Amino acid sequence: MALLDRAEWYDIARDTNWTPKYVTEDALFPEEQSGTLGLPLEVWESYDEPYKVTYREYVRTQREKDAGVYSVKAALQRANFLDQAEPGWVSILKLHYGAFATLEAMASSAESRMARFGKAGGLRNMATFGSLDENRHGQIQLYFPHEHVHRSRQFDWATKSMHTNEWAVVAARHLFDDIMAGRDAVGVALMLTFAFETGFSNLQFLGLAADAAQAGDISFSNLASSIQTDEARHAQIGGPAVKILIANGKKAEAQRLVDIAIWRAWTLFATVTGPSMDYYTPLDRREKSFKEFMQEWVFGQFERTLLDIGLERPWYWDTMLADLDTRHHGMHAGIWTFHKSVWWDVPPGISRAERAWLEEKYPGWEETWGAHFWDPIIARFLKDGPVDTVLPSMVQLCNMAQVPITGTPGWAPGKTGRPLQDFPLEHEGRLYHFGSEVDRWIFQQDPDRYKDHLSVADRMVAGMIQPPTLEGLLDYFSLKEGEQGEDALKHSWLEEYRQDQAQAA
Amino acid sequence: MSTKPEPLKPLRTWSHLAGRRRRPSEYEIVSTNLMYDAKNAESPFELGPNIPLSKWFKKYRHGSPLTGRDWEEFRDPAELTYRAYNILQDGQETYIEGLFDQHNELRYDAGLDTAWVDVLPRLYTPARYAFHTVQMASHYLVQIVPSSTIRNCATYQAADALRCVSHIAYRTAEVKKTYPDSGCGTAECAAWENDAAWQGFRALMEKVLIAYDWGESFVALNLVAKPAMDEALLRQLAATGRRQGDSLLGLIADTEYRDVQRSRTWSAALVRFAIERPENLAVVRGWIEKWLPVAEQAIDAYCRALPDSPEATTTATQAVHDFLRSLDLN
Amino acid sequence: MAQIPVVHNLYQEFVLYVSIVDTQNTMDEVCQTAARLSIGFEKNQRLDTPLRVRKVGAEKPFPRDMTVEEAGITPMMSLELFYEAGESVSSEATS
Repeated sequence: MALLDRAEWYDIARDTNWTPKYVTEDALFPEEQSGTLGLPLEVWESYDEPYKVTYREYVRTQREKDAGVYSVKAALQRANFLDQAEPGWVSILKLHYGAFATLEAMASSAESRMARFGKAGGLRNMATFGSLDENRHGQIQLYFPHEHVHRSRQFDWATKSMHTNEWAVVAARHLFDDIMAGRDAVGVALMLTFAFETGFSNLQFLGLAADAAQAGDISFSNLASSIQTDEARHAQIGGPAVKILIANGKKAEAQRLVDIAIWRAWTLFATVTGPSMDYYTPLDRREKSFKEFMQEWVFGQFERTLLDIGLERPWYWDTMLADLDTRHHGMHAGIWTFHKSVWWDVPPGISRAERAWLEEKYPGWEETWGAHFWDPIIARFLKDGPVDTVLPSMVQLCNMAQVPITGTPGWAPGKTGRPLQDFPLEHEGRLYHFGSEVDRWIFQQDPDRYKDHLSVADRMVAGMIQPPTLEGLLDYFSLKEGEQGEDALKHSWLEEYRQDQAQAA
Repeated sequence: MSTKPEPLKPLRTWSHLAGRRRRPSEYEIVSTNLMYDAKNAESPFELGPNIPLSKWFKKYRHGSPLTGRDWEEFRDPAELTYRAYNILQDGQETYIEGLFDQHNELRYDAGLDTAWVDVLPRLYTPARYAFHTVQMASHYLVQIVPSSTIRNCATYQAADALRCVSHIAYRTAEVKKTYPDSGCGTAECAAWENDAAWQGFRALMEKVLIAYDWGESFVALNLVAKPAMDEALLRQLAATGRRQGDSLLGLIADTEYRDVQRSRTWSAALVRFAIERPENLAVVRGWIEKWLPVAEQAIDAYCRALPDSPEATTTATQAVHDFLRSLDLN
Repeated sequence: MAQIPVVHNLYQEFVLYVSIVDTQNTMDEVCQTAARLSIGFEKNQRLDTPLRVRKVGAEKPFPRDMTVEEAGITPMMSLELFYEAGESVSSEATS
């Protein structure tokens, strides 16, 4: 073939900056959309994306990828994997699609923001492919669950979720509007692509893909790993932008944005991926624990990337490391005790065998979560019968992460985990509550950005949710019966404990 | 005593599509009802109504005079999905690759007329800037339009523009290899910034790029500026090229023009959809009246520079008028 | 007599709750409300010393018979319900 090598013409295709004359540079790149901190077009000339692709390569590769993923799906459709899948796995899928499908589509807007308002030609081109990628991710993660809508109304939440005020949706929207939909182009580059995508998305899409393969859901495993190949490319948009900021005296700003995004991503993944990996995935399918995945990908790989690019570890790194032992257990506890408030059925994940695994992976789990949380519930269930809503009262939500403020039950010095603690803050006459010093610190970085938001708990207290009852709350969440989560095992797990009790007697 | 409502039963499709009689297409399944930030006029984003981008979207999306439709009801006539887009464009790119390969084998560039080689760095290769501004402006539409079905169309249009940029970049490198002193690969920025031939399109696109109202952005780009540019660059430049013995340029332009037709088809459909609310008709017409003269000047500034092409301005302008007439805005 | 919401951190519980208390409730009554609205209280409670209430950040607890109103507790104030033994909630020794 007498074609040019890509290297012979690639630079020309991204050499597209010009000096505007009929409008000002500021009008063309307004700060609220561009976020370039006053750095002019010239300094962005050195932007160099590590992962290069041309339009021609893109359409061919993506066509092949889709052909593979869609044909595997079609081939396996007959097998009706979900008919025999364990309930925990079905729950993971409902959670995954409801949490991510629409947000992926939204990410194409964020990529387009970079493609319009980024000041580097290479960044704009890579974001063009990124926008296409997210367009793909939204569509493919709607096409796949659509096959299952006939099984349960909960699968409808793949498209319904983001239109509701269900509490986990509010948490997801708050996070993604903060790092993506409501951020300027540079913010998107640093917070979405560099921090969130490079740092964390592997957890959900590779970790879960590994579990899926183990569980026998080849269709999903294929889908997730295919999605991640796109991610591996467009996640690299942010790195070169970080370098330019550092080289031009903006390291502190870059560090701050990345620090905010890492912690916010952490609180989301602890809510969604943590329980999926450590409580929903059937025991014999668990590749690794959530903590082990986090240690490998975030504290291992991503930390190295962070340092290589010229940034420091976030100031709260040790706090986050310690939080690996606590946060997601609390998220699972909160979700399971109020499973009606989510759109997937929630496995408790606490059979004796599962508890042994949890103790192995999180030494000290039994003397805290076991003894001071699950055992009291089990005792009550054995005595009075199981109930649907175990959570005894409305909980306080963190005004940043929008999730319950949790700690390790039964904590005492020397035990694993950390104590329950509120981190309150008074600002302009209003009292805010945060689940960690980091969440509070994020608020303090830009109070005007966060101060007007009301958590779901705030709304309840303010009388915005009527009636102010359990039913009123579920209605506010747009969760009707048929959608509301149940105990995924319908309390059959209690039998093991009943037998233990009978034997002990 | 109150009766408990029946638990919701599973449906055969998404709940927002379930009311229709026929089964939804793949396109509808994956493209509709995805935009959650367009519904809340008070506070588009979860963070609240006062963050800078909430204000931006309230002003430029919710506050647009192009309004009053349930934009989620808009459908792309081509029902293009991501999957279909890549199948389509992979085929087109394979064809282009074949052309490049074939022409290179035949040492095509060596046979170009020297006068024409002088024209290329002036009137052809700088077009990468022009198409790149269309790429950027299309990306603005992606974030600002009020529904996911419109957003999809803009997403593929932005990619199509990068496609044009890529072809030009490729040819720039190729021509430079055969004619290293031609200016191809080095003179383009200066041409885009200084040559009289480009100042019309440059001024037009710089201004389109800052027309931030979603409706005006759509009308200015898709109904006026992009058609003007496509007629000048993909039709008139190509015609001139053919007359000057450069058929390859025209062959590339022809396949790019298929993307143009796709853009015009969905744009026309969006206009028809918008003016079902009669008040929107005057709004659309007003923007066309505002932008058309600027676009006509841009066509003229460029086309008059095309060698031996006295009809180019008239033909290109007429083609734009024909497209606008086809929108039935009277 | 009025009802106000407060945020309470009950000794060794897993989550912060929002509970509704009456402005005339004593601190002991606030603790009783919290104990009812808990998951692990039976397991966590200490029987050798009473549960005390203090504002987050304060050193000393309110007197047990002081009312919510007298204590100056306002809506959504953050309270710690702990066992006083010269130690705070966050460093309570095991019994």
